[in-house]
Amino acid sequence: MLEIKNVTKIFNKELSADERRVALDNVSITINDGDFITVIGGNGSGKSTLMNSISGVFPLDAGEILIDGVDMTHMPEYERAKFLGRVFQDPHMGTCGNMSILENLELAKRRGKKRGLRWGFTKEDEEKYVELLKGLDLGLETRLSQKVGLLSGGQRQAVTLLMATLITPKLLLLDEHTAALDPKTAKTVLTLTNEIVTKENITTLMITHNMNDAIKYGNRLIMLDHGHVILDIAGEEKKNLTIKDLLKLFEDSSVEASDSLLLNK
Amino acid sequence: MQILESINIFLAVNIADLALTGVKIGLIMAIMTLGVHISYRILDAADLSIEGIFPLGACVAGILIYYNVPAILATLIACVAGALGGIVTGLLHTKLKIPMILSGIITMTGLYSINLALLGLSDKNVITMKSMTFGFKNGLFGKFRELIIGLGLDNSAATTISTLVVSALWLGIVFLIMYYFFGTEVGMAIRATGNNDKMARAEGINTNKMILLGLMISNALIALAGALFSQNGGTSNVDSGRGMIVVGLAAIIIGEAIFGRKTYKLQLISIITGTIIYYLLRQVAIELNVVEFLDLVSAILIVIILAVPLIKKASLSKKGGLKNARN
Repeated sequence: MLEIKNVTKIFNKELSADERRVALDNVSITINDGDFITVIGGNGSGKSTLMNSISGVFPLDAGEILIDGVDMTHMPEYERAKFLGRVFQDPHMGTCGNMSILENLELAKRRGKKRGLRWGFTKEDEEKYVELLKGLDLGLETRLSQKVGLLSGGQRQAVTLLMATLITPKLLLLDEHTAALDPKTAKTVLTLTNEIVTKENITTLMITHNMNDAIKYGNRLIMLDHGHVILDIAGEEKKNLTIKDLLKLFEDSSVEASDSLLLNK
Repeated sequence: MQILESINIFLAVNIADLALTGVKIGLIMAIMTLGVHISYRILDAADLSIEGIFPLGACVAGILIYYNVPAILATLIACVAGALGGIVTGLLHTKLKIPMILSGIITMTGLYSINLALLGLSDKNVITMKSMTFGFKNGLFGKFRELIIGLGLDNSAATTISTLVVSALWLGIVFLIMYYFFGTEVGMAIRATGNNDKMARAEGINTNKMILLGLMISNALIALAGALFSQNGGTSNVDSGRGMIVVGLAAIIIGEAIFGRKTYKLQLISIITGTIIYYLLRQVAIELNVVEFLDLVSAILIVIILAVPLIKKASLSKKGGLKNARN
């Protein structure tokens, strides 16, 4: 269980009041084990800031974040990694382009564990990875020794997803991980995501720009606007949600839906 | 006329001798290039402290040998000194957030005084000469020569063989350690840090620690090369690191041009070969009496080779110029 308690993040804090940007304003969210939450909101609503606050990219201005009761508010980014699996929007971000698929997976295998002077490769690992890559159905199982830089964006995201879930994380953070892909590849990666998340029952927070996806996937939906949670629904209520409802909410929140949101409906 | 004269002189010298000198220095300097490779290629950090670390190795080893510390111990202590230098640069960069290039320059500048002070611990006048002689026979190569001279070799043959064998031995050890180390869990974490630090942190890697560790190893190797280089000449010189960064980069680039970067083992071999080729060329330049232009040629060579991929990209993209090619 992840508890986000009264978290506030202000950018340009040193500037005058009207030049500051309050990205998260006293936000509290409790993520229960097994939740698959989709997060939606316009540009500047605080979606990415929420993600980065959890993963520890920057310090918070107020509030705290606890995972299974452990306070990780002041933990450095690399230490939190033992709880978190992350996939970024930029396909280049989640993998090492100069290293092979095998090396990337071996790196992910040690996430949150001590790294020593042991040789980094084993036969068993390799066999396991071949099986996992077969599951992706992208033909990557025969390209284990190839550099990840040679893969397409979609393939890289699929590999990143595999790496993020290689050791089942307490929380999987997906930061618009299909936004940079073409529609067809995006769909493939999303289907794959859904498969892995449901099969392993991984607690997941997925940011998306796409209202359809936000409604289609997951058991809970959170909408952010100007650093506030303006909608947090789950279960039946979420199932019955339509794009119309979402658009209405955007209008009601007196903020125009961002272009990209409208385009993606 | 002058060119003809140069060619005549060149032909007159013993080419085998020339090649031998090139290989001898090349074997020692390959250790330095392997160190440069760690900072420049693996960590993707332009560490300019090399020009202070190389003479640091030379001065630490030199002064210790001068005071009769066993040469092997002196050489190992020089490595440790290099690693400490790497820590300084690393801390300036990771803790004080000083840009990498500036951190290296700061360390390098400070080391000049330290190196001079180290040599000053001898009874010799080092302020004017900027160097201190402790004698070839007291260094590692000299000691090994003593061992093999009993086999009935004449002095100059024994000197050559001893230099080749001892430097090849050190290089071999460094090669094996590096090959193994960068395949271990920690070694891979260092490589990931240099390649994509955001990803490395997301995988739970303490990137600052890895930068520090990488710089320690890199600088230990550079200091080792400095220590061996000084023992090859029997002299420690405060200025012996001048131009080293360009030499290192040129050697890496020459090697990669020949062998490519397909596998890690090939990459290490290419660096060693590249360094030896560089020093063979340097010997030719010395014989032709144009060695003062070699640094300029190396510098231009590096610019050209670094610019080629950029220019290729620029000509491929219809609109953008060099600026867009970067993205």
